[in-house]
Order: sequence, then C-alpha cells, then structure tokens
Amino acid sequence: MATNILNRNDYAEGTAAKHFFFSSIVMLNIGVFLALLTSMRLAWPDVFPNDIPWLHFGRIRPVHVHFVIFGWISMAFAGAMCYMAPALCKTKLWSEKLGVWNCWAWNIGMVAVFFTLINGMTSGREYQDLIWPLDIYVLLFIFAPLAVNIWLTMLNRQTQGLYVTMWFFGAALLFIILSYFIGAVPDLFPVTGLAEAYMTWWHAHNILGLWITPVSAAIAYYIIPKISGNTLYSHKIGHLHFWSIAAFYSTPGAHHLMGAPIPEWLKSFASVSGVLIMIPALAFVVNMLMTMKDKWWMYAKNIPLQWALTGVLFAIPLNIQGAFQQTRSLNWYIHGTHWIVAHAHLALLGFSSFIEIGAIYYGLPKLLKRELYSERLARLHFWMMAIGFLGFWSVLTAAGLVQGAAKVYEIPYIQSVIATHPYMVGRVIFGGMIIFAQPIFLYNMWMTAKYGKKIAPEPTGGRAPAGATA
Amino acid sequence: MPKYVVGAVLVVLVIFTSIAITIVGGSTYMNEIPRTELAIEKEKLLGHSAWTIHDPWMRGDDTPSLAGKGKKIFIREGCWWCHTLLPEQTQDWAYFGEPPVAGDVQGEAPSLFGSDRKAPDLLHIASRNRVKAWHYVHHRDPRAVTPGSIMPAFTHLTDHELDAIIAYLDTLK
Repeated sequence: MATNILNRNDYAEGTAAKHFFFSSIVMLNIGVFLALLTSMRLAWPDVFPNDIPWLHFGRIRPVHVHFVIFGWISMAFAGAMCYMAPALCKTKLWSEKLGVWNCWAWNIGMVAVFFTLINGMTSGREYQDLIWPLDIYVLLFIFAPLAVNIWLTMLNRQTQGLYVTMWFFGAALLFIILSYFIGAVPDLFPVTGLAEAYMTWWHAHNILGLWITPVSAAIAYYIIPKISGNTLYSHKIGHLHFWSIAAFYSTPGAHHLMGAPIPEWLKSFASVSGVLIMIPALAFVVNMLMTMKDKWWMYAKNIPLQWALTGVLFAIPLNIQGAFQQTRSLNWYIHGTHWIVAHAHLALLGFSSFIEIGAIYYGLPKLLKRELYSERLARLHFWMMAIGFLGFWSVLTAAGLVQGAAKVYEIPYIQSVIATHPYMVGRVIFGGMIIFAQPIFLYNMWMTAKYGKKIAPEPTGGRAPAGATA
Repeated sequence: MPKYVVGAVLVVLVIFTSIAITIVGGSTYMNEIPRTELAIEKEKLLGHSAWTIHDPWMRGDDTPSLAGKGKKIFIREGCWWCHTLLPEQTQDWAYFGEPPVAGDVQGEAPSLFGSDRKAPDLLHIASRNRVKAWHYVHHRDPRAVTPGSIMPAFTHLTDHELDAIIAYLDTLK
C-alpha cells in the first residue's frame, strides 16, 4: 500500500519542514549570487570572459529568476506549509516521508533547471523558460506531492474550522498546479502567435498573483498574530482578501501585453481587474497592521516579527505601484524599463522574501528546538538587506524614469543606455549588499542547528499538542 | 455540502472562467491573419509551425532555414532578455518603426515579445539596418560600432551561428 509506505513514521515531526527551510536558504544564496553576475554584466559588459557562454547575461538571467522563484521562494513556502499546516490543523503532517522525498526531488529538479537553462536549453517564454520535460517534472515531482501532502493534512485536521492561512495554502496549491499546466501548454501542444503570448503572460502573472502573493500573505497571517500574541484583527477582512484575490488576481495577465496587438477589450479587462487588486492588498495590509495593535514595541525587539512586518509594509508601495501600472497611461511610460525590474524586486525581494525570512527565523529554531545562534548576525542580515534593497529599488526606479523619458522624447536609444549607466553601477553596489547578506543568514542558521542553545519544547507552542494525534 | 467543497468548486469555477477568457481572447480573429515567413517555412516541413518536442536542445537543427536556426540561437543566447520584439504603442514608433500587428508573430512560437528592454527593439530591425558587415562587427565587438553600448561581445558564437542570427534579423522587417 502506497499510503502505508508514505505514512510509516520513519521521520520525526518537522523533518520535512527543516529540509525545505535549509534547502530554500541554499537556493537563496545561489539565486542572489547569479544576480550579482548579471548586474555586473550590465554595469561593465566585458567584466567576464566573453568566450564562456555560461557567463553571458542572457544565459544567467533566467537561471536567477528560476532559482529565486522556484528555488528560494517556493521552497520556503513548502517549508512554511509543512510547518504551519500541522500546527493549524492540530495534527501531524500527512507524511513527513513524502515531504522529505518532495524536497529532494525539488533539489534535483533545481539542478536540472540550472544545467538546462545555463546551456541555453529553454522554451524562450518568460517565467515558463523550462523545456517541456522539466515542465512535467515540476508538476509531477514538485507541486503535486506538496499539494497532496498539505491537502491530506487539512482533511485529517482535528480542528473544526480552518484558519485563514490554511485557506490560502489549500487554494494556492490548486492555483499553481492549474496555472503551471496551462502555462506549459504551448510547450506541449501547437499553440502559436498571440495565443501563445497571452498564455505565457497569463501564467507569468499568476505565479505572482495566485502563488507568491497569497502564500506570502498566508505566512504573515500565521506569524504576526502568533508572535504578537494578539488574535487576528478580522476574519471577515480575511474573507474579503481571500475571495478578492481569486476574483481579481487571476486575470490581469494582459497588462504585460498592453503594447501588443491583442484585443483591446482584453487589455481593458486586465486594467480594470488590475486596479481592483487594491481591494485584497488593502484588506491584507489593514488586517496585519491592526493585528499589531498595542504591540508595536515588538517591531523593534522581535527579529522574525521585524522581518515579517517590514514585508507587510513593503506591500503598500508594491500594490499601489502594481495597481496603477496596469492603467494604460502609466503602463506606456514605464513598460519594459528598469522601473518594472524595481517593481518586480519590490514584490519578490521586498514583500515576499522579507516575510519568508521572518518565517524561517521564527520556525527553524523552533523546529530545531534550539535558540537562534546569533541575534547580532540576524540584525546585520536585516539591515544589510533592508538598506541594500531600498537603495537598489531607488536606483532602478530612477533609471526606469530616465528610460521612460528617453522613450517619450525620442532620444536615440544609446543615449538612454549611457544615461542609465551610473544607475547600473549603483545597482551592483546596493545589490551587493543584499547578496553578501545572504551567506550571513545561511551561516547563522547552520550554527543554530549545530551549536544553538537547546530549549525545552513549549507546552503550547507552534507544534501540535501531544494528545492530538495519539 | 461542506463549506470547503463549495469553496473549492467556486475557486475552480473562477480559474476556468479565467482560462476561457484566455482562450477566447487569445484566439479571436486568429484564422484570418497571415502567418510569418518563418512560420510558413516551418509548417512546410513539419505540418505545423509551433514548438516541437525536438526543440529543447536549441541547436536549431530541425528548422528548415538559416533564419529559423537564427531564431533558435537568438532564444538560446537570451538576446531577447534585452532586445524586445514589441515596440511601444507610443512615440517609440518614430524610432523603432510601426506598431506591432498580429501578423508579426502569427504562427510562431515562442512569440518573444520580451518585457525588460535594455536595448533597442528589434521587431523592425531589417527596415533600419540590413548591413551584414555592421551586424558581424556589432556581435563580435559591440563598442566598436556603438560606443557606450552595454551589449556583451558574443565571441563564443561560430561564424555560421552569426550568419544564422543575421539571417533571422533580416526577416524582421
């Protein structure tokens, strides 16, 4: 019986989450290191030997994107799911063994992603760059086992209702599997022209809107009330957030194609639903900030809370930008410029990564039953990343506005390249701060696992009560 | 019925509505639009012009023409991460040429619009510059012909591969 093999309790509770969290930190380090190479290429084009194709910008860029999205962020999500789902359902993870296999299959998949993309084996479709055998691998060995594990944990729950976090976990896993499959259709079947372009970008935006945004929010819904000790401000607003994400965030893919010859009504549709993402965004931010009522002193004191709340605060500019960038007037000014790169990093590095790092600082020591090795290193990590990110975002936004102006005033293209060069150097410097902060994170977590002071498990901590699973 | 079943059904309905919009939106008017040069050539050989299962290796060996191989190399080397194939529907027209129409990509996959323009748009490059020698030099040493360019020098490409890329650029009128 497959169920028996998977369910045989060979692994201690939390093993899968530990595997995922450590893998995600390693992926983060690889992903940001690749970013350093690409940003140096943009500042000094001949900085690396041009005879080595692996070191070319066009080869590294997709690897960077896939490592941060599917390596770092998605694996941190998997870790958070394997940690939070049992706690919120007051049961064990359905199968720790499946979780651990899932994690190794994921890591092997990322190795394959690295070697195919760096060798130029790609589908040539942004955010869906993988070749078709890997598309199938990602669906069958990465997302499907994770979904099975989390869904069955939800079904085995010992609680009557489900907390907000669990709605998002359950739904986002369904979203990502459907979206990933539809995104892969043009790799597997003869879909061409504008239909291919639209499917590519529909999926590209759904990775952000139906996977990264809701799961990041779900993690914040768990750790912010948990650490602050307050109950969630409003479950009703949580409902509003959840349903408005499903309604408005599954359709704005066409805003990536505002300049393309797709039907005009489709662009208008994307614009309108795009601006309406303000509803889930505001619902989320308000809910989180109100949950902090009377506990704001903890923002400066508590490390995981500092990360998670900073991520929530980044969601404010992120969603204001995101909503209004989808209107045609703003879109034609900034489309394709560095502004968009800044915005994408605000979403993935600012909002999402800060929340996940908070989740790891909160969850991993608890899973290891040890205290964090060094608070000072954690603070250094935070400030290097916060200052580095704000600088990085500012220079790229400025560079994007320069490019937009050059476009509008019909200045020869090369002039905009020369004008944005100082910003590209700034990008390397501030980006470097972010990049060199990550080995500190890995070191701190490794030392926590090896030498952190042991703590007795809390009687009413994050894990399930002893009696719940008999 | 339990609440979560109702919820799951609603979520699936929303997703599928979105997919329906995708398909209807993406395929409206499609059959009336003429296909591109590359798509027609590929269709002659394979029966359809889309992505094939042989494509992942990105050697371009399955493409019938030099230009088709050039497009593969254009994808493989990631040229499209900076050179978009989608001029903005704004004042860009004056510089990059006509706005894009569906016929520019009809029958081709991937469409390679790109999203992150750090270099001139190439959808109409052949209308601006068809000088082969210029393109050769530009790929081998970009700053020799365009001072201030941040394009890396593609010294690892063979002469034949450069021929293919230039043949591809020549189809972008």
